[in-house]
Amino acid sequence: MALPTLHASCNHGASLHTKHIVSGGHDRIYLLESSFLARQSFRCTSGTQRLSAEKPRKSFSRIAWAAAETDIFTATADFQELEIPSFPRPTPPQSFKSRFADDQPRKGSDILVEALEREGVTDVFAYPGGASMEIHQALTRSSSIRNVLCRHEQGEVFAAEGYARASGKVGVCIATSGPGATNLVTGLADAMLDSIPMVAITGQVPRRMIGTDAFQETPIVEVTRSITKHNYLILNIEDIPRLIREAFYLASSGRPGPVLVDIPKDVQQQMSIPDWNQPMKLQGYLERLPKPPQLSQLEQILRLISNSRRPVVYCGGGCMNSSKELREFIDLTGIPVTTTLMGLGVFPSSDERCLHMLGMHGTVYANYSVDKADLLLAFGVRFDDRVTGKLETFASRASIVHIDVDSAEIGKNKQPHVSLCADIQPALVGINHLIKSRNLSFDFSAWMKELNEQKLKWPLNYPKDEDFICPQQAIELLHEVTQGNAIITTGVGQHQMWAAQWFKYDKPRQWLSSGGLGAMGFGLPAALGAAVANPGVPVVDIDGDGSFLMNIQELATIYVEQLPVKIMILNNQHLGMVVQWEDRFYKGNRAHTYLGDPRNEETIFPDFLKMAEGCKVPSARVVKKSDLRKAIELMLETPGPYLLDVIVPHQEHVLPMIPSGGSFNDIITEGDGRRIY
Amino acid sequence: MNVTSTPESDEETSRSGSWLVDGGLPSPSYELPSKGDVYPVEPNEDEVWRFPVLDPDWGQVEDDEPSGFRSHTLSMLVNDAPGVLNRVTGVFARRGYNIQSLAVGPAEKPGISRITTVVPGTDESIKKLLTQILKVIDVLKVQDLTHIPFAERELVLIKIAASSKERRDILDVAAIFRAKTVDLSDHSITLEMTGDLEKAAALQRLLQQYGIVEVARTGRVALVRESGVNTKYLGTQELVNKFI
Repeated sequence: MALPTLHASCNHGASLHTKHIVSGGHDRIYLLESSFLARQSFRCTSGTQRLSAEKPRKSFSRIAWAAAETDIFTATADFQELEIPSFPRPTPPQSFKSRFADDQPRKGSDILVEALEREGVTDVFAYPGGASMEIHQALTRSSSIRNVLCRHEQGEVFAAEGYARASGKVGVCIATSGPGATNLVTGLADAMLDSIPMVAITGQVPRRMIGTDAFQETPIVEVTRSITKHNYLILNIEDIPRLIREAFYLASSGRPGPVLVDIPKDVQQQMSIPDWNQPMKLQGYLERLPKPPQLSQLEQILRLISNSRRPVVYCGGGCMNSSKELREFIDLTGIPVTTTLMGLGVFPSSDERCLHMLGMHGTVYANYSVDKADLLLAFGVRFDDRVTGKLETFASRASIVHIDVDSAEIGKNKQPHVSLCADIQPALVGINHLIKSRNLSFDFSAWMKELNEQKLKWPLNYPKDEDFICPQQAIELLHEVTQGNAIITTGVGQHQMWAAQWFKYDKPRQWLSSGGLGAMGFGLPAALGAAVANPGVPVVDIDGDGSFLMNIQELATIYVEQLPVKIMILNNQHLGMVVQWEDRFYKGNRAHTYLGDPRNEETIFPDFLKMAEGCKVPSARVVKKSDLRKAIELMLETPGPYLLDVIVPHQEHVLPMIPSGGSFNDIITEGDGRRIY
Repeated sequence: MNVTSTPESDEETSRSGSWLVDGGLPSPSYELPSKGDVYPVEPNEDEVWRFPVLDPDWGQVEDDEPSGFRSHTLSMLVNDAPGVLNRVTGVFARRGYNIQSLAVGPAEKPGISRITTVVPGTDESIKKLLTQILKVIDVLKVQDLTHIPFAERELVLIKIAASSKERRDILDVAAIFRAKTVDLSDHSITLEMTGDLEKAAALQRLLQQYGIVEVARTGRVALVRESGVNTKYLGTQELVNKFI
């Protein structure tokens, strides 16, 4: 029977509440209203159903991942059962203690807040307004949900994103109707393109005023239709428990994405008794969730690996929850790994098999490896144009194996030879098991030797003898001082590319950056969201002066909440990445890319130190190379928020660079703004 | 997309790849199609927008195009809820597909609607469109009917300017097409006709000379033929000759 294994696509490394959702979703499929179970079940493939005694066979939500190892060879058909001792088990259902009595009518906003509590939400990022006031009043009555008040809705949606990216949980943000909702649009588009689980709740004008151009009314459901995975307009108070459950489920299952829920004010104020046991109505979606991978498909992939001489693993954001399985796979096979911008940290950068980032600003050896490879294992990636350049010449010598949870991505840009629409984690577990059980060994040492030669020949470098601070060096020093143990967020631009290249990421969810959308102003709010998700872990926002200025109001938030967010601004007084393109392709013609004071080019403008002082955030500026290390150490030692303004020259270019639509031969490895092109 | 390595591409990369191995510099004058734009700018590829939607025979996007560009009939089942049509057509717009016709109505089960649409495109591009439509939460099932035998009909209401002198001729044409008269006035006749695309196009072409005032077409509705009989094949010359 084809089980839609919902759990498989959920984040397993994630916390309690997503597992809660998973089980809640299961109980709809297999039973009507009875209590769901949350114990892992064990089922043998050899025909006899060995079930744990507690559960009746009908009422079942199975995770379905266990059997004796010998059964793999007796099973001729599906390969669904596998011993995975490390698989996180869903905890037993707790009876949720509601603040209200069962027959006590309460406001819609209280039902909404309780629904959030039942989903395990502990932190929300909410900004109040006329249409969402009721929700904020209800939040004050909740004892388990904490609100972090950001100073702009865009800041709050980026903070929810940073929270989701850093923890794997669903990020929640709440805004009011009208302008509050439209300010969420950039963050929703960013979450959509980078597949980040997020639920955005917006207030709306009362139902009878919808469509009348009322005060602060925007048709946000229509506006965000194409930038959210799904959205809801709640018109009936009875639907609130079911739709919130559906929203969280959709946000976190399959390919994660943002879900928007729009609640009119009169629904928030209406009184009713909620029914918490309504089943979700997601039949079509549940049927289309990818099934667990088949033995035959994994065997085919394994055969390709055995027959190849120059394989490369190309992994990205889809592998965020499968870092451990990926590491085991690479340990068993010895295949070199290159990651996309979204996948930094999935495979430890300090490992010698890691070829670091590939793509437009990726390393030469990573792009070389993909160009020369004869087998490209694409795990959790979407062949984005920043990575591939010219599609016809990308991996033109290789057979392509594409494993992705979203069937629409397979074959979208590049036709794979072998494709598997499945969650990468069970697929890797299966492949690892096959390799171990058959005692296969691989030898790609000649290929690794060739790549190591390229690594030595074309390393990343920057001018080391100058007396100014090189931005690349600042990031390298930061890595040294933190020993790689910090969560890094960035804005967008040259500093983002340098942060991706020069800081070595060894763990997933350590690198948070706006990849698909490339939204400037992402750095500071995402850092504050990550700090909320991971108290005690140092969070550093490597920002540019342009990106930082876009959401500078969040300085107030980080001071008020005393979040230990360290901001390191690589200040070159210009819009660096655009300047680089102007230098290379537009003969250095500056078109509105100077961010300093044109009447006073000698001074640093704007003065971020004074702005930080206004928000009571301690700050410092460093101009000389010799002061840099001490400044970074001081930044990290100071408790609470801190801003460090590092002055760097604007003539530096991000290298290497493959111009867009170019192939590996078009790679540019040297030059900077001091030459005329 | 051709992913196998061709001898030309091999040679080319080895020639310019040699600079990488030797340590020399690449020649700075590389010719890029984009000429240094943030996105690669291709010469104008307006396949999707090329075909006129409003011709009676839909710009003749039928089987004969050498590039494989033809009209595809899609049938999908969706939840009957407000906004679902907008979501589905939003996918078409977002991904750059044109809609030649659209017909929506209740399906077999209550609470489910059937959307039948005709979209021009190649087989490849329509396959990609179908995977994108399947991402919409409210969609239950999508099927491309183009390559399997299906029955299709369309209802046309056509108002022709007709004085009493031309009335007889127009009514003769209507009788041949088995079209019914639904309205009559001293200066116009409104006809109703049900049939497939070719019949509707033929009727409109014939009545063109009298002066068409208004046309209202419902758009193609189609269902799979369980018998498996392909009526297009039935009309071809070879089959006729077989029986003579």
